[in-house]
Amino acid sequence: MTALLAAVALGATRLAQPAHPVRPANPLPAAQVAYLTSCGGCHGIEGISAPGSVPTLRGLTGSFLCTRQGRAFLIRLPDVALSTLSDRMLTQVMNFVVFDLGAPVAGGRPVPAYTIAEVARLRREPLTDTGLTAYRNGVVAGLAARCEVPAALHVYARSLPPAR
Amino acid sequence: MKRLGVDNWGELLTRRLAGRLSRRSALARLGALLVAAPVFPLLPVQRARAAGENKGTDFSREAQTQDDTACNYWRYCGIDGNLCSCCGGSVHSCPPGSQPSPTSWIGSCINPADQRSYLVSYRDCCGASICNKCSCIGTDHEMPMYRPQANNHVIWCIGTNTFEYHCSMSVLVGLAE
Repeated sequence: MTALLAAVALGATRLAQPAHPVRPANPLPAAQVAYLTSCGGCHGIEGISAPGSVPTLRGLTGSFLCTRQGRAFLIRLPDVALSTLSDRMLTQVMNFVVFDLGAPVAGGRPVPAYTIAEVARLRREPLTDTGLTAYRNGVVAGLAARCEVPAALHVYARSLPPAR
Repeated sequence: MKRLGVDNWGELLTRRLAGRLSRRSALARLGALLVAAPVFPLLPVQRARAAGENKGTDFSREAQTQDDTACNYWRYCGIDGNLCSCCGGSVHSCPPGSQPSPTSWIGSCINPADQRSYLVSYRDCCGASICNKCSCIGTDHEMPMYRPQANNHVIWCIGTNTFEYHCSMSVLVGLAE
């Protein structure tokens, strides 16, 4: 009887398997999932985005931690500061963006990660009343004066192609 | 001194209860209640909510995993447009003559095969005239136009040489949970 039950159970298991079995996978870390759903569509799954249209993150964002102004700039960017993420999750996402996607950090200097309190304070002052491209140029000039920064950091974005 | 009627009633009731019920009896009933309570669902609302959580979204309840040219294929839960798999491409590749956009929006769909949530990138193929086959609209995790980062009406051709929309793909990114 036990053997019969086992055989029936085995048959049922085989029947239940889909024709195209899903590859087993480990869930992505929560910060990476939040990055992908909140930022990764445009900035790229790997932080590599459309050249000239969307700023590239890969290998570049870590340089912003070289100065206090650059460190604040990343959190005060409107789509960062005004995102729907909680302070805690936004902190995790930005540490992922800076230390994982954006390494090397601050020209190789040891720099502390963003704290929740720091992000909560900075996001209350979003850069909504200033021209972002000009402001960013000033931030990058400050970075270049203090750290060795990648040449690509000086390129922001060309104008978007005209709409249909 | 004359006693109040309520005092008499109280005394009578208490004495009757004390005569009929023992402390052991009360403790036994209380114990039985504690043991039996978890067996019965106390709140029907809680049961309905728990059942709802396991069932996913309206789309996922009707989704299938076999035919990626049908609108109810599981990965199309938030797609809006013409399926590339009906236009000479596939669920994750553009038809010849069109190019994938480097920008997209990323949502998630539940796979009915394992009931797990997968991140999918809704990526448009651009640079060829519109393919008018298999027009589908899914709305899972889609946001209104005033939050365009996750809006599926947007022509997601930003970063390509043209804004000429051809068709839409749903590219698997990873397991969300």
